[in-house]
Amino acid sequence: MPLSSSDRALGGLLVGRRVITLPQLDEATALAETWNVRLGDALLSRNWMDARRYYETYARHFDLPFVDLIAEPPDPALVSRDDADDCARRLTLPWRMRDDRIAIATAEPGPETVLFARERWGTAIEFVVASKFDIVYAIQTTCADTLSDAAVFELVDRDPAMSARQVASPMQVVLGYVLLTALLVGLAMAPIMTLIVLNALVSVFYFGGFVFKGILMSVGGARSTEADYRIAIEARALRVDELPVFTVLVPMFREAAMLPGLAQALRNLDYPLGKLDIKIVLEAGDQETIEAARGLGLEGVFEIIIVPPSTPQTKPKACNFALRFARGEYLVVYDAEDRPEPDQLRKVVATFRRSPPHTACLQCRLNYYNVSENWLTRMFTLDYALWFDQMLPGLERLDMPIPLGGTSNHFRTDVLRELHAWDPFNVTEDADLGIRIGHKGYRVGTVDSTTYEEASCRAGQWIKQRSRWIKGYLQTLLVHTRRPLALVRGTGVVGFLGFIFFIGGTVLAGLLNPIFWLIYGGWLVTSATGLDPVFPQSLLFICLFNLIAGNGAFMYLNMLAPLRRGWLGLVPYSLTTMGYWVLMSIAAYRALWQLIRHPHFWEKTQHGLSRHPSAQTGHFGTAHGATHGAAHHVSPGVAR
Amino acid sequence: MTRTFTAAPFVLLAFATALVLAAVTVRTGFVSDDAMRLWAASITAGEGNIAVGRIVAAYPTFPFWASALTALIAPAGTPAPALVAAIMFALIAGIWFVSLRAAGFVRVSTVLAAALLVFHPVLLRAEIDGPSEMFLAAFLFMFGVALFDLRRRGATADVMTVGLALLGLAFSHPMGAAIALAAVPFLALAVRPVLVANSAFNVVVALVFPTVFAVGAFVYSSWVFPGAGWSFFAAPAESLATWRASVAHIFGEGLTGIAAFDASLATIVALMFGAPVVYVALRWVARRRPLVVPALVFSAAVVTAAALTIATGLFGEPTAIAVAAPVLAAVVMVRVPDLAARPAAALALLVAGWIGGLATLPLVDPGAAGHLRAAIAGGESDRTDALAAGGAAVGHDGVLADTDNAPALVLGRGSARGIYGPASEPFHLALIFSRLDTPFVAVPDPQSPIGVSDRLNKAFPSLYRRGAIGYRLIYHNDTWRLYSRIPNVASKKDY
Repeated sequence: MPLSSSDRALGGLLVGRRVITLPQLDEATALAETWNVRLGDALLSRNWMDARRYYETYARHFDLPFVDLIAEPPDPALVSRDDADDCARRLTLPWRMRDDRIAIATAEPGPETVLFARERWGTAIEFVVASKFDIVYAIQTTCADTLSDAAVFELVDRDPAMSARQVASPMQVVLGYVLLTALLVGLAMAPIMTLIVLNALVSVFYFGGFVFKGILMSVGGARSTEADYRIAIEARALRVDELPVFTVLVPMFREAAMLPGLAQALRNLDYPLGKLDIKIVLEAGDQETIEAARGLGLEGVFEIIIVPPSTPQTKPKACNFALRFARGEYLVVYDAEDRPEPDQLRKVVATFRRSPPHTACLQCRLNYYNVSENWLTRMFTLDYALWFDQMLPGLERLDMPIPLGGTSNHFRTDVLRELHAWDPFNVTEDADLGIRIGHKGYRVGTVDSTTYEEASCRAGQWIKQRSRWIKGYLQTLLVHTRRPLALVRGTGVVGFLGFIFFIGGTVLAGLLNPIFWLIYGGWLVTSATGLDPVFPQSLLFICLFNLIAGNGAFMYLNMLAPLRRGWLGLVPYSLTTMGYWVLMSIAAYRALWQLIRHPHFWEKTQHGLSRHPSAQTGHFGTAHGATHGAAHHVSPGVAR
Repeated sequence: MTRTFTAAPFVLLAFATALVLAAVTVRTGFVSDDAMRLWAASITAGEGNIAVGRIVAAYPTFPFWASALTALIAPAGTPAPALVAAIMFALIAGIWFVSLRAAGFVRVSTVLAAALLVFHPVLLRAEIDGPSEMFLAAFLFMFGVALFDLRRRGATADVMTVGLALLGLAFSHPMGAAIALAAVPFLALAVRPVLVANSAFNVVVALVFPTVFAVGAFVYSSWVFPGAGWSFFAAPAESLATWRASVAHIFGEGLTGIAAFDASLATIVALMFGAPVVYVALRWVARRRPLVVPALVFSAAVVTAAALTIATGLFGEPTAIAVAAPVLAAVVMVRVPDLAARPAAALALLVAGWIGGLATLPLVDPGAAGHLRAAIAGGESDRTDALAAGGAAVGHDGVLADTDNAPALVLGRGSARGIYGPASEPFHLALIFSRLDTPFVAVPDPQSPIGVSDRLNKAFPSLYRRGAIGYRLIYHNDTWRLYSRIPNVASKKDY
């Protein structure tokens, strides 16, 4: 679309004031016309100028005064906390009173802003121009308490049953107490029969678990590659001018070293930078990462959101806070170490357009770039390949609720807001949100595009990370079984059972496995007959079948998992799955203990430990240190 | 859904045909030894007269489990293996019908092609032979189709299907186990070249893992449940000896004198004549490797399996391999699109295959001709006599008999309850102490083929002729005698 006359005039002014050169204007004009964005958005996606000078010129273009909101902050009395969301999205806020008129600071002067301002603050208004970074920063600081409070408590206040703030509901506590009492009474009155019943129930659960996962594998593995190719072609064919604005949230905590690689990975995305609304979300106390971000000299599309200190200090809280400032039609969360495939956002847009209207989220595949670092990273890769390449597509095809993975979940922003976003009290807020989406009648789909992450390469780190995940699954299980009928209504009976087996099964297997290993190992070594009454012949057969077929089936599932990617070198490692399960069980018991002692404690996974940086894997282009020399430029986004 | 529905009449026809065949063959005794043994064992297991261990480690596993389960839930006297075989036959008919429609054949062509494939003489012979061969045919079809999909698409689900098909083959029939083993060297050829280039060995590992693991599990179960033993190795050795005798009777020294080589040649001829559509279709698509290679891998596995069976003696007689011809024809019909484009030629080739199958049947199953002649002549006396003796034992509880050797006895009686077979304690005690103490004893003529291997005859050589002290003869026919203990007379050593 040709540049508007106003933008053409602005371009002339910028060149005239030597903010940019003529060739830069030509390039920016071409970009703006191709992307169908304003000239300013195209210019800010390039590191050609100081953002302040751009906005000063912009103000002059409209013959409005320019204000520096850091030097002259807005009057807090004028900024209504209820308006914070809209102000952030429209980059407009009431600044100060001037002669009985409200001076409105905006980064986007124009008719729409005028209408919005009149609607909110009446006709006695006048406008000043401020940079978008100043406006975002001013809203953060002025409404910090309100926004922080909403980030923590919105879900609890609006939909308390969906929040993990309360670990178990009173009914769940009573039910647990009744079951425990029944078990103890049974053990006292008829111990053998009680143990047999318990054993039979566990056997049925094990059997159901591996049959269910086998079905998922089969269904997910048969996913049509033709459909994926079609999406890939449609993604490439999408015209740049019809792509929507995409918000990218990158919550980080003490990960300064990951910033350059992350920035480069985001630049590598095959998506017009002018249509990216990138928010690097940092904790107020994490001075090192804040300084590193400011020092990087990032382009104007990168914004820094500082989350005020409050508890719980979790990633979902940070995302909730940043969501207030999101301007995109779609929104994705990436972790600091993530390296998404370049065409991911395009594929997501293409898939959303093909999906049913009630699709709220699309989950991309996750995998690791440090696969070959050691045994643990190989097993972790098999685990992820099974989960994201086979199981989740299986859940999708069977129309079951999908627990989202930690990153690369792409949301429709309006639905995300409607659902009150992430639960800051749940330590696997992503999995919980995926189930909540199903619970509320929406749908999660999957996309054949991979984001590469760094696998925990040390057992201690891995156990900590997995403990958090399993604790989160337990929280999610407890939250969504509070109102089982509502879940059945939202997901259907099959979906409900799928949820129980998929989430509950993963946790319970980790907890039960060591008990049965001990019994089996003890019997093998001692040939003791003490437990024979608990294992009558037919039950012994079922247990043996579960032991043999279950182990074989899971090994086989792990063996098949890497085939889709052609990572055949991992096939033999699937034979060592038992060792991985030992770690899983340790993590499961640690998670159970933490759920009792510190249910909302977020155990941070440390990244950057790998000796295999992403740049060496061949999956991506440049990463660390390759930032176009951006550090030499003054970055508007991080000037504060 | 519509396709499945339109297949219903055809499935019912196949099911009815199978039941009629079962009734005729049981009445005339034209039932294979394996089917008889399975039948008797399933009745016994269904009545709970077999230890869990023997059920767990029974072989061939899938047909046995299916038959035992049917015997358990069906009314008493239901011929469980025949019913399972008929169900499997109908299932195969339905799958082939639906697959042919999905492959693009119009309804008339589908009906004709499905009829020529399902009622192929070799498949009918397999149906008569019992559920083992029906399971073998079903898993062979699964294997063949999955090979095509694996080469064309190479999705994880295709690898999984090939792996599970090999597992199914190995536990359906000894011949299936031979095919699964013989297929291993050829599997790498069936995979997409890009995967093979990556790591051929690991691809093959992924394909054969289910089978290898299941065999290990099977052996382990045999160890955990005492009494299960390794009986599945013994039976094939006996049937191979019978097959060799039949071959010698018809073909003398054979073509080359090397039995394994001859078996391979016979299999090749059976495939070529029984399924000419395969090799003509491959000629049409000779330049399209993804369509040619899977069919060649399938053929190579089957031919090698025939040789392997004879060379090792581990997998019994190779007659069941005959079923590969109509199965491969069905696979090619549903996976080579050119055939749907030339239905007339395809049907003509299927007709030729039907005739060729009939003509080559004696080549792969030399014993069948003899059995058929005997059946037409009024039944095989060994079988019919055993069935009659079983009938005579109805109403008598505590019949000592070697039912492993003469499973028809159980069939004739309709129930294993009240029979002291080789797995029972009275049978063990009788053999250990050479002392008869049961209310009844059934024994075949030691001069008859069935009597030679009867364990009671071996322990009590004069039992058939002279009876035992304290026992009187209450029934006899040409082969069998049934003795009853005389009340109040203490039994002693037989001699």
